[in-house]
Amino acid sequence: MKIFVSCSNKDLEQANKLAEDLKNQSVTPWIYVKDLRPGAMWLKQIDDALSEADYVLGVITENYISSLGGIEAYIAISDGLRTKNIRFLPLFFSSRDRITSAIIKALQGFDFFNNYDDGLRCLIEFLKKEEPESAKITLSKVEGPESSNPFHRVRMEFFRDNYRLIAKAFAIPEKEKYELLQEERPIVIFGGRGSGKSMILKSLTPQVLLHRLKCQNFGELRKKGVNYLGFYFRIEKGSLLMYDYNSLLEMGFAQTGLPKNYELYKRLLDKLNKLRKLPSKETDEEPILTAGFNAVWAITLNEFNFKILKMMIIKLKEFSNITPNPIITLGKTEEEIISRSIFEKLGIQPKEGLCFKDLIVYVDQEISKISNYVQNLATPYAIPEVNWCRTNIKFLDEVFKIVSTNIDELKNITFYLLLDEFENFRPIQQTIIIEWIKTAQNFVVKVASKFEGMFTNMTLQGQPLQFGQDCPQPIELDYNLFDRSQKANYQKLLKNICYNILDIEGYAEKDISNILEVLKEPEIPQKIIDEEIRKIRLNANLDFDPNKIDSYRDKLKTAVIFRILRQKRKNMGRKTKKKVFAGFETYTYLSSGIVRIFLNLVGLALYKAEGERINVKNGEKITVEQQTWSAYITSKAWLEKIPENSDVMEQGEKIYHFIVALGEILNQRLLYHSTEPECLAITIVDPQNLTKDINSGLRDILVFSEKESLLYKRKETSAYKPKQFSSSRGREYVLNRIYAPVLGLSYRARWGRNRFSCNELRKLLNSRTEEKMKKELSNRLKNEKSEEITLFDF
Amino acid sequence: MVIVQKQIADPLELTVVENWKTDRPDDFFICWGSPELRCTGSVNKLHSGYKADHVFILKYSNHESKRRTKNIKSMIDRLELVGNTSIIPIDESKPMPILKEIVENIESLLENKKDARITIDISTSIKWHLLILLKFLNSRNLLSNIRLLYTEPEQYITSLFQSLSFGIKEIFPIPLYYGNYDFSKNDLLVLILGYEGSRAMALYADLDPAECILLIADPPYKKEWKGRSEELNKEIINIIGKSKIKYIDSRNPLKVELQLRKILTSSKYKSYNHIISPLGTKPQTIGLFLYLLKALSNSILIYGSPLRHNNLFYSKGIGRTWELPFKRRNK
Repeated sequence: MKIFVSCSNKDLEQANKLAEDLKNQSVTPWIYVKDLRPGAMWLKQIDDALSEADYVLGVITENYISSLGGIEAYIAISDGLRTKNIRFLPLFFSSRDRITSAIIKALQGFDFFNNYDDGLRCLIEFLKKEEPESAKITLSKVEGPESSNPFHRVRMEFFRDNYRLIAKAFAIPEKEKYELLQEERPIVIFGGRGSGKSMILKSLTPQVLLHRLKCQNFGELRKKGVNYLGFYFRIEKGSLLMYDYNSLLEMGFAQTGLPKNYELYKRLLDKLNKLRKLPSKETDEEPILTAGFNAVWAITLNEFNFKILKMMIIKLKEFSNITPNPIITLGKTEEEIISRSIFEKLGIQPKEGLCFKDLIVYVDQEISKISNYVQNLATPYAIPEVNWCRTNIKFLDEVFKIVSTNIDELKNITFYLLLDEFENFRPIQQTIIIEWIKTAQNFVVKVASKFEGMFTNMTLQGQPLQFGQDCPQPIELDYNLFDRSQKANYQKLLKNICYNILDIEGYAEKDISNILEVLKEPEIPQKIIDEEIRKIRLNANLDFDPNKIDSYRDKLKTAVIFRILRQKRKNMGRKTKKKVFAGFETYTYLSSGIVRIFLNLVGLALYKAEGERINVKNGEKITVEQQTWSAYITSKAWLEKIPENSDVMEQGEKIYHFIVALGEILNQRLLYHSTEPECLAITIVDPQNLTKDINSGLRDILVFSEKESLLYKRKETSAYKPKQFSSSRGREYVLNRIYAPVLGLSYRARWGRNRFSCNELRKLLNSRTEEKMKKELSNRLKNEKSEEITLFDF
Repeated sequence: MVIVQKQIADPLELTVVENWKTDRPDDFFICWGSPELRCTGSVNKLHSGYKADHVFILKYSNHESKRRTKNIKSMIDRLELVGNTSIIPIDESKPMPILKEIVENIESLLENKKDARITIDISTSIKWHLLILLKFLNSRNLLSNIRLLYTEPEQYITSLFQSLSFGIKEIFPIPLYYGNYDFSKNDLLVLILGYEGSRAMALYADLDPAECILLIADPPYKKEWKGRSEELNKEIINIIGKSKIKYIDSRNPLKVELQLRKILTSSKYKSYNHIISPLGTKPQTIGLFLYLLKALSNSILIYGSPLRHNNLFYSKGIGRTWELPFKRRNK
């Protein structure tokens, strides 16, 4: 929804407040305030904005009426609005009695004069009622376990524990990547939300492998070269005891004997809550925190050892109990020997006739003791008691050795701990995993994390994890579509995933690129495009050589289409056609290398097609219009989800508005730049200033945006640096392409530069200076004379 | 030893708040100051002869609010006639030490008094703070000595379209209510829904559970609010499915406790880790606390703090005041 607030220049303050309040109510981020100059013809003045607006809100005061220039002006205005299908809503900020225009007074509007809040509420209710269903809600109809859409399973959890289905749906990423993952070496996997981290880890579990490799038991898997047994762990916030830092502080105070006061407590808790990385100078200087870290480390290690042990034993028992084909054979004798040996490692003299159940009971008791200790640390007058069995960093090594020695099928295999959601550990907890990565002998840790989710690469003793030595370089699952070979691999993966999904559901056509129809004819006739290109170049005092038309088309064709469509909207109203986004190639780019986005695009397109009685299951194609509809809805839904993303902490709304603001600026470039209009990137010309305190807000926005794949830092390679390029690069971020449709942009990132300083971007983040900065930056980009460059891609 | 107290089966509406028992003053009256006018609800209904030895007004110190300052002033004016009044500032994000200190103070002021009487108005407390306070009181065997008051808003200025809050600031496990997590089990997310669909969705997206159930209040506080939760949580209902909606009481903690026990100990859900998030009413939160006193060990409470409240569409006025039925039991 786009809203245009029209006011007299004397009422600008009220109009700006109204716009701000509407934005704060998440009505829409696209609200433009325009004041009338006395005597100006209103419609002419705001023509540009009107082509995009759904509603015009008039801030009706006596000033406004006198600015409109009388009834005749109003009649002309309302005619214009009617033909463009725009609704005009008068908001009475003055008493109706004082409004001299009989026509406007008679209009149904909203009373802001008697009570601003009541008026605002009524207006919001009205706008929301009129709005078509929110994009997120439309998308939610496709996702979810109860949907019949084949692409509804966008999360691994939607498969439940249907290992057969997981195996069928799973598509191997590039061979080299997957082989590296399977190797008996630790590995770290980074990927954004929806990149398939959980799916990849689960594919290494025996339950899924059995189905994938069509084996009956682990022995058969070994014959096929599988020499590992994977245990999958999903780390939730709160799955270990020390997520909040209160206990750490209690222990720190207790160990150092320093007097506790609330102000000191708060200060230290603040430091801990802001802690993003270890080691940290801020925390190293605090003896209470150092003492607390050491204590937490020891307790967490114990807890983790016991919980992993318990999980492993339960899974081994489950594997041996599966009927009719147990995965492993585990007799009573083996069970007793293993239990006895583990008890001995724990320093307990075991009785006769032990089984796993006894071990589980014991482990539960010890975990309970640790839990009671942690609870009592925080509880008034309680006396925390350290009374559990202590284990050390080598404990799990010894346990796994015992297990592999005593179960035939598991002799000489390696155990994998597959840890998902690594970012849900606190930094101090991550040091334990780092230490296992570096030192474990009988098991291997494979970790999946969101970007920036690895808060430390150190052990508690201060030894760094060295990628390339202790373990290979991390694998990144997000595909970089600037790299041709990555793009090709990504498209292959998408096709394989879609093939598997469509095969499960019995679709006749399983090649997704055949199901997604492409444009048969250009959106705009080539002649018209070429003529526009010629005009653009000539208007910019550039030569036009008909022999170079292909080169000109490459740079300007897409922008011309956007411009022509926009002009049509201005002339004929908002309901004219939007820019088309359709086809496998387009959807690849829109998904920005993230599998889940692609599945959302395709799933929603299929939902639309089947709603319009297209029998896709029997081989009919999803039309261009249906795909375009899906692109806009998916784009809007992903934008709307940003404030709900807890991983960006309290920056969600700011990032949302930042991206919308960037979109408006880049849109202006697309519509007006004469040589390089398509551009999804911003370049920070002074990245060294990001470290300054004044730019900490901007810095946080960029860090979180990158972490959540909302922005990508463009990595430089010589392959796509243009030959003519001479100026310094700065730091470059590219917008996630999924936002292109809703922001009115081309999805092609291209090579143009939008250079901004930290100061300018900071002002864009400030609601008081945002509008002015947007105008300034837009005008600059529109009028920029850029060098002509010949090497580009994407 | 179990202290036998009079059991109250249903919430009891109070038009006047008298001393818990007539023979002597209450030992404590504890309440929270808030921008919501209903924080003064029970205070305005105090009997002219109501007395308490000690009065604690908890005031959140993170941001200034003229409305809150005004409400607290009117509370002080009345409560200074009740007993020795203290304003206790409490940091919204770091409540533990203060809550611990409050309970330690209570215990030391009680001086081992048997039959202590602590009246707590929970109307505008933050839910996770309330849960911690109750846990601390339980650890000192004081649960059987508390009376809980709750004042509803006169109305929620809800809209079918606007949530009571926007965005999500942080998702975290509630201190003292997590850690008993079993890696061998899958996760069941239990969302007690309110009027904040985005918050529910954020929790769901963050936790990615294998299974999820949605608990909706029925009956709602007012008849005309029926269906609002469903409307404002459309997105998550579409994703989880209507079949996963279960209904629990909105106002009676005892009923909520029983309902939770019935749902969560069923064979269908017993084998999961239970990750529970209280986004509904305060009485439901009390019911959750009672359920957890005897719950399976692998329950975790998760909280999603909103980025900001929707002050335009929020609670208005002072509604009915209830004494909530609350089984007294010791740990």
